[in-house]
Amino acid sequence: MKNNLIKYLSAGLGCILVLTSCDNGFEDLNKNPNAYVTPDVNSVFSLSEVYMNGQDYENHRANLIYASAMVQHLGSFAYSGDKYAYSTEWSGAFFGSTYSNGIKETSQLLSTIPNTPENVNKRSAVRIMKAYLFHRLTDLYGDIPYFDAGKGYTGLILKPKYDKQQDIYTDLLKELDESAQALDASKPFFGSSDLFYSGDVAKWKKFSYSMMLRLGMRMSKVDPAKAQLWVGKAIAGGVFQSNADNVVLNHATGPDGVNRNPYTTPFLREDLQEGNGSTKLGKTFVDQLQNTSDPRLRIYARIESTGDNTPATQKGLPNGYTSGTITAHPSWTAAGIKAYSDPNTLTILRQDAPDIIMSYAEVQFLLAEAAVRGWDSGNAQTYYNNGVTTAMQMLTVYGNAVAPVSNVEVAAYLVANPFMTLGTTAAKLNQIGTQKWIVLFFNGLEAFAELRRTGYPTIIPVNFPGNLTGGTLPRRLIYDETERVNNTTNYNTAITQQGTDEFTTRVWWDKP
Amino acid sequence: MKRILAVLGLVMLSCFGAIAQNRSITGVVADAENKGIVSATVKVKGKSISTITDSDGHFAVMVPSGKATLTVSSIGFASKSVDVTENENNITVILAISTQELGEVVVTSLGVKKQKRVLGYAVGQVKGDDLSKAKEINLGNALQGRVAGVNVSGTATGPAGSSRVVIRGATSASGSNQPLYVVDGIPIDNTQQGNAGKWGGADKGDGLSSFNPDDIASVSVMKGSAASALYGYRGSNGVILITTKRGKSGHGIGVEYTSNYTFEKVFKTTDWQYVYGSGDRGQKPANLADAQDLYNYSWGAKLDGSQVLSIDGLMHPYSAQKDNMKNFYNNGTTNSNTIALTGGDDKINYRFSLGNVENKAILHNAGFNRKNFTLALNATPNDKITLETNAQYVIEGATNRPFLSDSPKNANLSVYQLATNTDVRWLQPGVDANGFEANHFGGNIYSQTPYFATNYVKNFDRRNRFIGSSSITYNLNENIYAKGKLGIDHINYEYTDIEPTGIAYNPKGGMNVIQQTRYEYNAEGILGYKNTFFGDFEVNAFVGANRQHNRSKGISLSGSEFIVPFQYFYGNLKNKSSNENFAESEVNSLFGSADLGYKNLFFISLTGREDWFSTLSPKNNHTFYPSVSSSFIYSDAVKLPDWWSYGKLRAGWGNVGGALPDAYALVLTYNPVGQGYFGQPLVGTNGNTIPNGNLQPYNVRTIEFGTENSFFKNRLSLDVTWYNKTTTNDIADANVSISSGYNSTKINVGEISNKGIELQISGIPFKTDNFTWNTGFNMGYNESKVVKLSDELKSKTLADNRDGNAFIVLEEGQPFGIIKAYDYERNASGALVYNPDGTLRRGKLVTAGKGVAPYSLGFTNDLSYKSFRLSVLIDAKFGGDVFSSSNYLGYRLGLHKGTLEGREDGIPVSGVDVNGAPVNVTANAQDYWRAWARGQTSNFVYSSDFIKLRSVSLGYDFPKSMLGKSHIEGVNISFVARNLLSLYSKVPNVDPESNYQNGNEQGLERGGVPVTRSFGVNLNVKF
Repeated sequence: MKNNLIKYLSAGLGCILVLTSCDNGFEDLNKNPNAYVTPDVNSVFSLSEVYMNGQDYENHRANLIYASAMVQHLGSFAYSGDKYAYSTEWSGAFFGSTYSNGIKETSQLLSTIPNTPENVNKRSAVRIMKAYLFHRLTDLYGDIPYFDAGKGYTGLILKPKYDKQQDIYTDLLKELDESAQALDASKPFFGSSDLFYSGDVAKWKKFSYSMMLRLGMRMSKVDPAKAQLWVGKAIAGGVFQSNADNVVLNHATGPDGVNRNPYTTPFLREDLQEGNGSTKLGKTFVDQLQNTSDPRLRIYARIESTGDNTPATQKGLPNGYTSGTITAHPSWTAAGIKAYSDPNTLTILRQDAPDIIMSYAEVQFLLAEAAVRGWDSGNAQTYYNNGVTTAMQMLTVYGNAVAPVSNVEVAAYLVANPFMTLGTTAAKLNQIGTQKWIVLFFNGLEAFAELRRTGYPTIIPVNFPGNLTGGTLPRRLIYDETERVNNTTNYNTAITQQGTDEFTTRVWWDKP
Repeated sequence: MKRILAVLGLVMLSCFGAIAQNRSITGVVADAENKGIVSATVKVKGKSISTITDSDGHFAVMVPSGKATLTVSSIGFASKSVDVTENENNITVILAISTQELGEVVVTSLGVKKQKRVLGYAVGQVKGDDLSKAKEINLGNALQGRVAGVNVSGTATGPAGSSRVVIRGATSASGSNQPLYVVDGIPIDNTQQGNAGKWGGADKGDGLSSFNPDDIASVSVMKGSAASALYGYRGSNGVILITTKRGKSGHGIGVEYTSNYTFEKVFKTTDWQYVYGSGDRGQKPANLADAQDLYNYSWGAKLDGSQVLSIDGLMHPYSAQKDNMKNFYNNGTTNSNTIALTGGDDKINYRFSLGNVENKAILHNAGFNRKNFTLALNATPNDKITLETNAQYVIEGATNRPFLSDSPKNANLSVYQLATNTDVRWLQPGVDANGFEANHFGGNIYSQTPYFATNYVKNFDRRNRFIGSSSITYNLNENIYAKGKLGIDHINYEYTDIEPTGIAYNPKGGMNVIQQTRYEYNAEGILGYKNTFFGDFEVNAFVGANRQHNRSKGISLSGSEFIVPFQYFYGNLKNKSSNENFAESEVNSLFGSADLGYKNLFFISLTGREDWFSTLSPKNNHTFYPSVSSSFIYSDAVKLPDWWSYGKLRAGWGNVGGALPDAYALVLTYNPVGQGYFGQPLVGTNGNTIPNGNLQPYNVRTIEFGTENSFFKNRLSLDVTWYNKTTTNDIADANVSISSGYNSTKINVGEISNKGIELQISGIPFKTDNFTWNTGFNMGYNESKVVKLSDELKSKTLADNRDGNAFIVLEEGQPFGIIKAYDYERNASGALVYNPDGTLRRGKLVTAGKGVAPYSLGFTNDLSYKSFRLSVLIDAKFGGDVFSSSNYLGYRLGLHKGTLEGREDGIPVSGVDVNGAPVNVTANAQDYWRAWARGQTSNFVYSSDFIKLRSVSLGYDFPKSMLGKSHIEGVNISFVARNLLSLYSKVPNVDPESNYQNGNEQGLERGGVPVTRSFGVNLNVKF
C-alpha cells in the first residue's frame, strides 16, 4: 500500500513537477525565432540607402503632387501643387514617411553600430545619409523635430520637440564636416552593401562635401557670411569631380515595390493612363527646352498616346487649369489631353529608371553661383559649361532607347545659349538657376528649395480660385496633420516660433 | 509535444494499474414521482469518490467494502445522505424538491464542485438539455437568454459564424471581452478566425462551433471577478465552465441515439416600395447601358408592366419583383445525429459518442459540417484513487462562408439593392460565355453579381481538433488529497479562399491559403485538505500549481493572377508571396483557495493566484490575483416566517486580469525587406509600434452583493445580484508623434466601469399529478462607462460603415461603443439649413445610440402534461441601437417606402440657406431623399430592441407500456423551432440582430445574411 502511494503520487504529481520545475527556458521562450534581434547592419544600411530618396507613397505626394507641380516641371488638373491647394494627406505624407522609414532606420543604425574607431566609416556614412534626410525635411517644412527625432525606441521619446531650422542647419553642417573628416580609407566600410558607391570611401567624402556645398549655399540670403564660410570649406574639402561621383540609386521593375523607382512608379500607376491622364509635363518646362532647342527634350518628353518624342511636337500642360477650363487655353486642340507631353516612358519614366540623388552637374552650378558671388576663385563660365555638358551626358543612365545627347549637340547648345559673362549678377544667377532647375527634373523637392532661395528661373505663379497663397508661390508644405493631435504642445511651440502652419510661411533660410 | 503525449500516456496507463478491495453500488436517483433525476451527484461520504447520474437517473459508484454512506444531491432538490449496508448493491434514492437549496452542487473554478450555499458570488447555470434543444452550431449562441448578465450576440452570417458572449459588460477597449471557456477543466481556444469590416470580409467562425450539444452535461458561468479569480490573468471577462457527459455503470451497454433535422428559412425579408421601378429622375432606363448602370437605382418611372430592356439584356415587364430574397435564398437544412454508448462496471465507466452535423446554409453552396468523437473514461481502481479521462476529436469544416458588409464578393448586398423591377433570377448563372463574371451592373465592377458570388467565389476551411485531459486524484487519507491533471487543446486549421478568374474587379483572380497549428496544454497539480474542527468549523482548502504552454505556428500563402485561367491551385499563380508565423509562450502559476464554514450557515472563501508570464519583461513578469467572498444563510440563523423557505446573503470581491501582451513584444526586431536589392539583402525594423517592455495585463476588480431567497417550499425563488466592475490599466494605444519614427505604442492607462443588476426568478406556478409548469425569468442590466481611454485621447473610433457616415466610438464618459452619426446642418437658432435646390445639408456628428443593449432578458417556460413536454424560451434585449445601412441605402437608392413621398409633385420646402436667405422651393424627390439620407445619417440609427420567441420544443415521451418488451428503453419525439416569431422589433426591412461584426464594434448592419427561422424534428431513442 505504501509503495502504491508513492507510485501514484509520482505518476500523478511527479509529471507536473517535472513540467513546472524545469524553468530554465522560461525567459528564452520570449525570443522571437522568426526575426533578427541583432540585425546585420550592412543590410540595414542598404535599406537606408533605398529609403534616402523616399518611397513611392511620399514621393507621389510631396515630390510630384506638390513640389514638381509648384516648380512647374509638371502640369496637372488633379495635383494640389498645381493650384496651391491643401490636401491633408498629400501635404503631410513626406513628413510621416521620412521619419518612419529613413530617419528611423538611420537612427537605429547609429544606436546599433558601436562607436569604435573601426566603425568610423560606417557611422560617418550613416550620419551623412541622416543629414541628407533631415535637410530635405527641414527645407520642405521648416522647423521640425531633429535632435529628439527617431528615438521612439532608443530613447523612449514619444513626442519629440521641434527644433529651429537655424539650429538644425548648424548641426547638419557640423555632421557633414565631422563625417567627411572622419572618413578613412584604411578602415572597414560597407563594401558591396553600399548601393551607391560599393564602399568607395573617397566618393563618400566627396558626397559629404558636395552636400555641405548645397547646404552652405542655401544660407546665401539668410546668413551670407556663414554661407560663404561653408561653401569655402566644402570646396576646400573636395566636391564631386565628374559624373562618376554622382549619387545614383539603380532600380528594377521588381520583384517588390522597394525595388522600383519611387517617382515613376506612382506616375505610371496613377497619372499616365496611357496618355489620357490629367498630369503632364509642364508648359513652363517644355517651353524652356523648346525655346533653347535643348537636345534633352527628346529624352524627357514623349506623347504617350502616339509615341512621338519629336521635340517640335511636344506640348506642355499649363499650370492652374482644370479639365473644364483648359479648353479655353490656346494650346487645347480636338485631340484633347492626349496631345500633351508625358514624361518619356522609354527613359526617365521607366519603372526601373535610375534615381540621380545628387549630381556633378548640380555641384557645378553651385560652384558657378559661388564664383559669381565671389566666394570661389574659379571661372563661372567654366563651371556653367561643365554643368550643362555633364547634365546632358548624365542622361545616359536612362539608357539609349532614345539617342543620347552627342558632344556635337552639347557644343551647339552652348554656342546657342552661352554663359552671359558680361551680364548682370542677376542675369547670371537666373541662367545658372534655370539650368539647375532642368537638372533637378523629378527632384522636385530640391528644385522647390532652390526656386524659393534664388527666385530663379522666373516662374509665374498661378492664381486658381480658392488657392491658399493668394496666387503667390508657396514657401513650404503644411505639417503632417497627426502632429496636431499626437504632438500638440511641441507643434504649437513650433508654429509660435516659425509662424502659422501655412503654405505662405517662409522657412528660416528663405528670405524675401 | 512528445513530452505531453508521454505524460498523457502515463496518466492513462495508470488507470489500468488499479488494485482495490472495492465493491460497486448501482442505483437510481429519482424525484417524488419516480422520474429519474439527470446529473445528480452521488458522493461517497468521506471519500473523494463521486459520480453523476445519467439521463434516467441511473448511477454506479465504487465504495470500499463494508458499510458506506452516499450523499446524493442535485440542483433543485434537497440533498440526502443514504446509509448502505455491506450487502446492499442496488439502491433507489428519492430526492425531495429542495426547500433550502441545501445540497445543490455547483461546478466552480478549476472544476471544483461546491455546495451552492457556500458561494459568495453569482454563478449562472445552464443544463445540457437546454443546449441540445437549441441545436445551435455555435455553443455561445445557445446561451442566449439563459443566464442573467450574459449578453449574447451573433453575426449575420448564418449558423457557422462566431458568437459574441459578454458577461457583465466589456472590460477592455482593446481586448476581445469574451470569456474564457473551460471544457472539463481544460481551457480551450476561442480565437475569432476573421471578421467582416468596413470594406467587406467574412466571419470565419470561432472556437465554439466544435462542440456537440448532445455531449454537454452542464454549463456554469463564473460571472464576476470573485468567481473567476482562480483563473488569474484570464479571468477578466468571466469564465464559462463546460462539463461533458460521463459514463455510467450497469445495464450492460446503454445506447442513446439522437437525431435532429431542421429547416431554415429567411426570417425577415425587405419590404421596399413597389410603385416605381429602375431608372433615374422618373425615367425608365433608355438602353442597356443605362439599365445596368442603374441596376440599384429605383428612381425610375411608375411600374406599368410595359416591356423594357432589362439588366440581363432581355425584355421584361416593368413590374414589381417582390420576392427576390425568397427566390435567391434556399431553404437551409441542418441534420445532426449523435449516437452515444455508455457502460462500465464497478471500477470503470465510460461514455463514447459519435456526432455528425451537416448544415446547408440558405446561401447556395454554403454550409458547415462537423464530426465529433468523444470519450469519457472514469475509473476508481481502489478507494484511494480516482482517474478521469476525457477526449474529443473534432473534424469540422465550412464551405463558402459568406462575405458581409461591403462588396465585392458579398452576394447579399446586391440582392438587397436590386431595383424593384429586377428579378434576381435573371442574373443566373452569374457568368458569361467565357466563364467570367457576367456584367449586369455596367461599370460597377465592385458590385457583385450575386450568383457569381455564390457559385464561383470560393472559400473553405477545415479544423481538426483534439481536446483531451487526464487526471488522477489520490486520497492520502480522509483529510488530504492530491490531484494531478494534464490537458491539451490542439488545433489544426486550414483555410483557402479563391477569387476566381473573371471576377469583375480582379479578372485574373487570386487566392490565399492559411495553415495554422496551435495548441495549449495545461499541467496542474493540487494538494487539498478538508476537515471539520470542533464540530462547527469546516475547512476546505487547496494549493496548486499550473503550467500553461501555448504554441502556434502557421504559414500563409497568397498570390494573384492564375497563369492558366480557371485552374485554382497555388502553384498556378503568377505573383506569389508567403509568410510564416510563430509564437510560443508560457504562464506558470501558483494558487490556493480556502473555504471556511461555520455551522453550515456562514462561509468565507479566500483565493489567491500568482501568475508568471514568459511574454513580459523578466524584471516585472508576475502579478497576484486575490479574491474574498462570503455567504451567510440567514434563514438558518434567524427564524423566518414559514413561507420564507430559504434566505442567503452573499458578498464577493475579486481582482483578475486580461489581455496578456503577445509574445516577442518586448524588443524591436528586424526582418528582411522584400527580396533584396540587386543581390544585396535589405533588412529593416519590424512595425511602427514601439515595443513596451513594461506592458502588463489589464486589471479588473469586481465587487458584488447578492441575495438568494425561496418561498412557499421552493415554489418561488428569487436571486438578485448587484455588481460594480472596474477596469484599470486597460491597454491603450498611446499617442506617439510620427517624428519619433513610430506611430504607436501600447500603454496601461485605460479605465472602464460596468455596474449592473441581475435578477433571476424561478417558480412552479402549477403542479398537479399530471401537469407541471416550471417558469424562470432572468434579466441583466449593465451600465457601462468608458472612464478613460488614454492620456490625450478622449475618443476612439472602433469602426465605421462603408459610407463613412456612421461610427462606433469609444468616448470618455459615454457607454461602451456608442453609435455616432450625422445630424442635419442647422443654423445658430437651430433651424435646418437648405441648399438652394431644397435639399438638406449634412451637419455635425452626433451621438445617436448605443451599440450594446444594456438590458438582456430571458423567459423560460417548461410545461409537462403526462408524456408531453413543452419548452418555450422568449428572450429580449432593450436599450441598444443599430445603424442600418440597408435602410440608409434604401433611401439613397429609392427602394425605401419613405421615398415615395413627393415622387410626382416634389417636396415643398421652406427654410433658410447657409447665408440665412429664405429657401422656398419644391425639391425634386430623388434629390431630396438622397440628400436627406446623406445629411442626417442618425435617421438610420434604430432602436435594436426586440422580443423574440427564441426557442420552442414540444415533445412526447412514449410510455414504457407502448414500447413493450423490446430493447427500447425510451423514445421521445419533439418538434423544435428557433426564432419562431419576432414579438417586437422597430427596425424596418432587417432583423435587429443583423450586426456583421463580432468584436467590440457592435451596432453596424450592412449586407449580412438574413437571420433565419428554423424548425424541425428531434428524435431520441434509448436502448
